[in-house]
Amino acid sequence: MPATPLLDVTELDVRIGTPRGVVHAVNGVSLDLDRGETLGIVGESGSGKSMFVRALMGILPSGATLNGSVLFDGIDLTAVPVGQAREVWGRRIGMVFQDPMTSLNPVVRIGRQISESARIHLGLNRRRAEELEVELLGQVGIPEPERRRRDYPHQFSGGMRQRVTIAMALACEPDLLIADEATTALDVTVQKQILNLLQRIQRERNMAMILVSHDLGVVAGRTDRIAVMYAGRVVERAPTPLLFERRRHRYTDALLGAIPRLDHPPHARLRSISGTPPDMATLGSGCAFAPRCPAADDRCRTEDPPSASESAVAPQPTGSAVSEVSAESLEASESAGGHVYHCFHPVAASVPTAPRAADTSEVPG
Amino acid sequence: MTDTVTWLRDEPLLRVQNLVCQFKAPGGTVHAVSDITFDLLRGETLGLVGESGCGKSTTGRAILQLPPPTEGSVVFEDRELTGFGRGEMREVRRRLQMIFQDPISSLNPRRKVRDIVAEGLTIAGVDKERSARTVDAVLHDVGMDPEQVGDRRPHEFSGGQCQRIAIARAMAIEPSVLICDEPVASLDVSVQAQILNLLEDMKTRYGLSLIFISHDLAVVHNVSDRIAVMYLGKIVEIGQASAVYSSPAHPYTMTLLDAVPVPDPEVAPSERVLEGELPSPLRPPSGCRFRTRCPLAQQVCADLEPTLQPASDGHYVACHFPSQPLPELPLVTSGNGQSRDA
Repeated sequence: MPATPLLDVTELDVRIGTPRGVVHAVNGVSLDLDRGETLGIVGESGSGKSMFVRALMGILPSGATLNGSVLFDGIDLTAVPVGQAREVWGRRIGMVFQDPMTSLNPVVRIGRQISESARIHLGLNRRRAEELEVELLGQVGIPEPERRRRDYPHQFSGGMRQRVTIAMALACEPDLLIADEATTALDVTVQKQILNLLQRIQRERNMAMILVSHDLGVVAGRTDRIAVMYAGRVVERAPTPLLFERRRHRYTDALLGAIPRLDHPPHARLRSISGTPPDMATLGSGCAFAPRCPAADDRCRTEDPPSASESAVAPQPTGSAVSEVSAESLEASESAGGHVYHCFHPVAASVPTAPRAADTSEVPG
Repeated sequence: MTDTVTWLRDEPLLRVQNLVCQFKAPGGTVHAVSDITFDLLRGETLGLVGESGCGKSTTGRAILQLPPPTEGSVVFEDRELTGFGRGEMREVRRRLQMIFQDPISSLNPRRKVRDIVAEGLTIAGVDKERSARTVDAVLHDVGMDPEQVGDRRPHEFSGGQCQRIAIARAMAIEPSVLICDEPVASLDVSVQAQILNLLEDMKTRYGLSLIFISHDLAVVHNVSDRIAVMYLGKIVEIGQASAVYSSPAHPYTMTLLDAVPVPDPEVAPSERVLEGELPSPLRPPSGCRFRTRCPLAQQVCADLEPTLQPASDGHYVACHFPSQPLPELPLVTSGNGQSRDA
């Protein structure tokens, strides 16, 4: 890993004052990300994943306070004057949101909305802006970009609108693209179109990308690393294959067990997680997952589990069920020091992912 | 081109035949559901899957006559429901209940949980004492403590808990069919698993039959015995869940299954995507409605509407070229630079 990553977040806290008390939305999150890398952030609603990426983008709700540091290409966005931070927000960091309709202004033609940030940040004149609009609409796969750039948001379907907001985020050629649940509101087939599009653009431009999702399936095949968030903390982070093959945190394990899968037999009982996520305004000490965790004991309820690192001497995966990931590649990424979790009672070192039936030929061909 | 009824089964609990739902809209008529036929046996779960706009929710509502379908018949427990008046339907709805996607807005925010769950019983004229006993029992069955929750109001509960209350309300009058319209779409995975397990428990405990409407193929797969795949108001494929999932015969079902994200980093997402947009239900394409986005489409698909034909035992598909492998490349239908060559 190079000496200075593109994004280096250290001990980030976000506190939001509400009538019910102070909500501890993000608690001591440290993450880094390099150019060309894709990071997945996974968690349930209320886990703080959206607040975390909003903090990076400087769009926290009013009344929120921020602690810690966000180093973007050496600039500490939490410390520099707002004017200087704005040179990064929207220009070098682009963001795509969940609801494409509310991220677009309904009474402004989409072309103008796409080029707005480029006109402001890069001082593009009208002709150059129009050229950029057409170019970006073409890149995100909207047919007839010359004509469509003059249309209004309501003239597009949900998937097409999301393509427009992606074009908006790309206008200033950002170094980092954040997609916050960008495909959650879309149908599966459209979701796949959009995810493939994001991945293609990320590779073409060698951007860094953060995919925020509640769905481990969405990030599984499309990220280099994954951070699992619960109650405002990163409870486990690891290179993507490791997180699935050698997950250690009880929450990660429970989350994977709760997902219905096509390769399970019908009526298979899902491993549900009992209870509900904690109230972030009244969070006490101890592991936040303890009240829902089958392995929790008194220590979990009183002490914060420290950060533990997976060492390279972890036992070899046994049996063929562990899939065809080569042991060497696992060891290599593990010894890179990438696998960190916070749990007193981690899951056994090597657990196969849910059994994959051999006969699930999903689609012929 | 009415589907022949040979593939319907004997002694169904519910039989929907040639159901058509149309709505007037500014641009003409919306063809929401166009001539679909299926049945539901006692104790069975039928999954209705498809993307938004395919008519799956309209179908669920039409069964309950909310509103009554434009054409076709809905036979429930040997009674024809279309043409029933309000009073008669009220009677029938005791045996035919529904739960919805947004559990919070489907509960009256001003009423206490106990009254919400008791409402069906009150309308049915059950006396207060018996009704109170039933409410306690059914709340207990959905995993809630009646002592603790009975006097609270919906806003004090999370989405998952509200869905439990909605399920309790539906179960209180012991229906024989429960229509679930996207019951877990707005819930987190951990809570989704709780609700899916609960529905399976309810099915066993109350001897329920379920119609499970969802856009999520993995969820439908988890709960269903049979699956009907809908596209633009038509059933394109229907059959045993295992058959439809292991050997999908319709190209739409194949692309739909291919698009489901797999929580396994070893399974690289394929490049194959379904291109284009759902055509307008105001002017559905001639012949096969999927032909405008289908990689296998030929002239015959535009000229002749395919009817449901057997693909394997109890598995039917409406396609002129069923069970053919799809091309590996992205299904590019419009030259919008979708192929990845970087």
